[in-house]
Amino acid sequence: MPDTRTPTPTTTPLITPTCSPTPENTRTPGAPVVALVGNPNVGKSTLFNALTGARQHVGNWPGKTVQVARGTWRPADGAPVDLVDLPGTYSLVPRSPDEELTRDLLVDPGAEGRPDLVVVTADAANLARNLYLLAEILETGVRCVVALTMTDVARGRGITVDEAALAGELGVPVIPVVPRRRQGLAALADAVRQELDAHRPARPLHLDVPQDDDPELAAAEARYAWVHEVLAVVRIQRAGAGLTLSDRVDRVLTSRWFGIPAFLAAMWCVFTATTTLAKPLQDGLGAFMDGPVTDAASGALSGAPDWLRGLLVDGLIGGVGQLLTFVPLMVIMFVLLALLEDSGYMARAAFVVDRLMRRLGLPGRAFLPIIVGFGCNVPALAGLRILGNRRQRLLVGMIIPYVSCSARLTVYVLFAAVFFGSTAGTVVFAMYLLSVLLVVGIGMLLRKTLFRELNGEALVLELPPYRLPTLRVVGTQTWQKLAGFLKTAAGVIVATVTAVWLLSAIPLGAASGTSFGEAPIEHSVFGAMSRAAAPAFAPAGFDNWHAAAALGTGFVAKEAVVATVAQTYSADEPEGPDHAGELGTRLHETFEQSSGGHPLPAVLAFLVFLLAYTPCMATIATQWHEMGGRMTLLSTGIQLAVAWLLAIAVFQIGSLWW
Amino acid sequence: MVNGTVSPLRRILVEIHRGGSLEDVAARIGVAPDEAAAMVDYWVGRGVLTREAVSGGCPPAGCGGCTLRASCTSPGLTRKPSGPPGTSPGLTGRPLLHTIRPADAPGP
Repeated sequence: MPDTRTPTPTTTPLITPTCSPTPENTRTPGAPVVALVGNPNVGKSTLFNALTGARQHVGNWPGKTVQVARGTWRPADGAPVDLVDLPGTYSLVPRSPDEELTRDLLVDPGAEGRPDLVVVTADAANLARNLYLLAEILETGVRCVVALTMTDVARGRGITVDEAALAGELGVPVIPVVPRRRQGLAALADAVRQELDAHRPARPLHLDVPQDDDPELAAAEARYAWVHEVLAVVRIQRAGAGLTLSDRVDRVLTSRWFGIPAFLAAMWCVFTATTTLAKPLQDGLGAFMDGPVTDAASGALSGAPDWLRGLLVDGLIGGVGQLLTFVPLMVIMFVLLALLEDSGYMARAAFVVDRLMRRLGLPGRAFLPIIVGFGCNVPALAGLRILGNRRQRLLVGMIIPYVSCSARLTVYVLFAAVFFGSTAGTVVFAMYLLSVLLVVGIGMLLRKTLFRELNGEALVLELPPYRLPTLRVVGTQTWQKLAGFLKTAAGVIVATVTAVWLLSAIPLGAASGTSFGEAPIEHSVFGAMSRAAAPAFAPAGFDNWHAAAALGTGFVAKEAVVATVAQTYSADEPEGPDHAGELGTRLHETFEQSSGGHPLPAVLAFLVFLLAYTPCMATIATQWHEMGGRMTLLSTGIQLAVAWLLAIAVFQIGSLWW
Repeated sequence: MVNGTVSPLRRILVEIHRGGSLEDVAARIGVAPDEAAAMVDYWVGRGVLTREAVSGGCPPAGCGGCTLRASCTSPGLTRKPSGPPGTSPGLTGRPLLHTIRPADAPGP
């Protein structure tokens, strides 16, 4: 059974302990009791495992529901010691039953099972936090020895702890240990044995605590003042105080002047690398779907009715297959983003974005759901609940739909690759940049109009240190995001493709005399609906029914856009092998025609519209739930207006040059 | 209050309202970053401050898979007091960062 009493994600137990319901019964008769105490994640359980080996048991402490590990420590040249691994705690003011047990055993002199001596495991890399607990323990008067761990991590940060000076300040032995390598264990055993054999009463730490209305706070202030004084004596910072490599990098990446440009440069690299690396894989997969897969399906369905062949080959295989060609692209992008995230850089990016938003008068905490929104807007909207008040939730809820979710990426890449070739990465990057500008711009506009009375709120970010990304974390994150994308594709997209096929199989107008599934798609119900909507996009240069159809299904889910494009062009194409894989050519022709010879600004206008209008039905439903119907309708109306006006502006201005 | 001056432990509550990183806050109150982090622990323990872990990602059912509130816990955000960085209940993998703020906001 794994030891779950204290979370130690950074360490792995050296052995798997065996279980026993009553560790108290496993005591070594006559052996002194030594307790291991310390903050969580300081290597305490690793030290316990190194000291006891296989001679340990895990079970509930008598009379408590708290699990405690107990074992026999047999130093090489001494009598056995009964070692107890108490639950990790940050303070002797308990916040949980685990911490309460530790407090009771150390503070109550008459407590049953009170240890004869305490080994306090202290993390040299986070000494302040550990010294606070140590101060509390020393105040109790229990005899103790300090096992100093993580000295290598501290050295990596340019910090050296003077162990002799620390022992002098604390008045107890301080032994540096590296449990994984079994270094320092003999010295620790000697120190413990000497303290146990000395039989002298411990000298409790006495701090000067002034009178105060809040005695607990006054005591804590005294302890922190003591911690500060001790640190000043024992902690030696390498020359160039505080300037570790991480600090030097942070000075650039989080600076007021270079923070945002560095973030934009990192994102440009991600999107350019993604589109460049993914292209050959995507092309290969596309050829495979269009060729062998489609041919095999057509062959297998040769005797099937036309409507069934249309649904399966043109609809599902054409639509879903087209979307599946984006899997390599998604994998590469998710891997690159996971690398940035796991290395600690994304936390710096969040920091500079938070600072920018505060400067612009937007709630700093809004960046939290916005970060999530780049994956998917729906959980970002659900995450609004972390915001302080309803007005803030409404404001941020109205700007989240402008955050470019990963589903929109597939459309950017499809159109950018077809129309912009080698600069596709830059176009995709520009869409994300526009997304950020829309979030900030619309946010400021709302802040100065509907939300003038909104107050700022306190928020501090605790940035992790830079670290080498691990294969496990990057792999897990990539898989989770890819699985989410595929699940959506498997559900919403299949339903949308089927609905589109059904509507496109019903003849209308000029083809009303033909039977079900026989009419050309532009003369079907779906074609008629799309053609009816298309003129609205004439000022933006893409009043073709294909684009209108794609935007229509995109209202349901953005993943459906690519599938619909493939579906409508596939159904519209004349039969024959010569026309396979001509999606790009057909797209060119369509936009060339609808834009009056300005396809590039027309495509950009289409992408801008796609970015800014309603993300999906799920987003609307979540907005409705979180913000209410009135605000959701207002938000949707604003999105459509912004998308339409921006698309027109992009086309009209762009067509002056292109 | 110590010797008529406001202690760093009390000043950190004021400085949290000015925002920035914990390193910024530590510099403003004149202590090392790990001392400031330890002080935050104290206030988190007293329920005055809240520390939250943040990460990105899609819900388990896929993007758009959590329209129903009951099935969506917003995987990127957790309000559970996370303790010091490194401990992040409710999150898979390492959190992106931790946020610290007054614990006066309504819960989800």
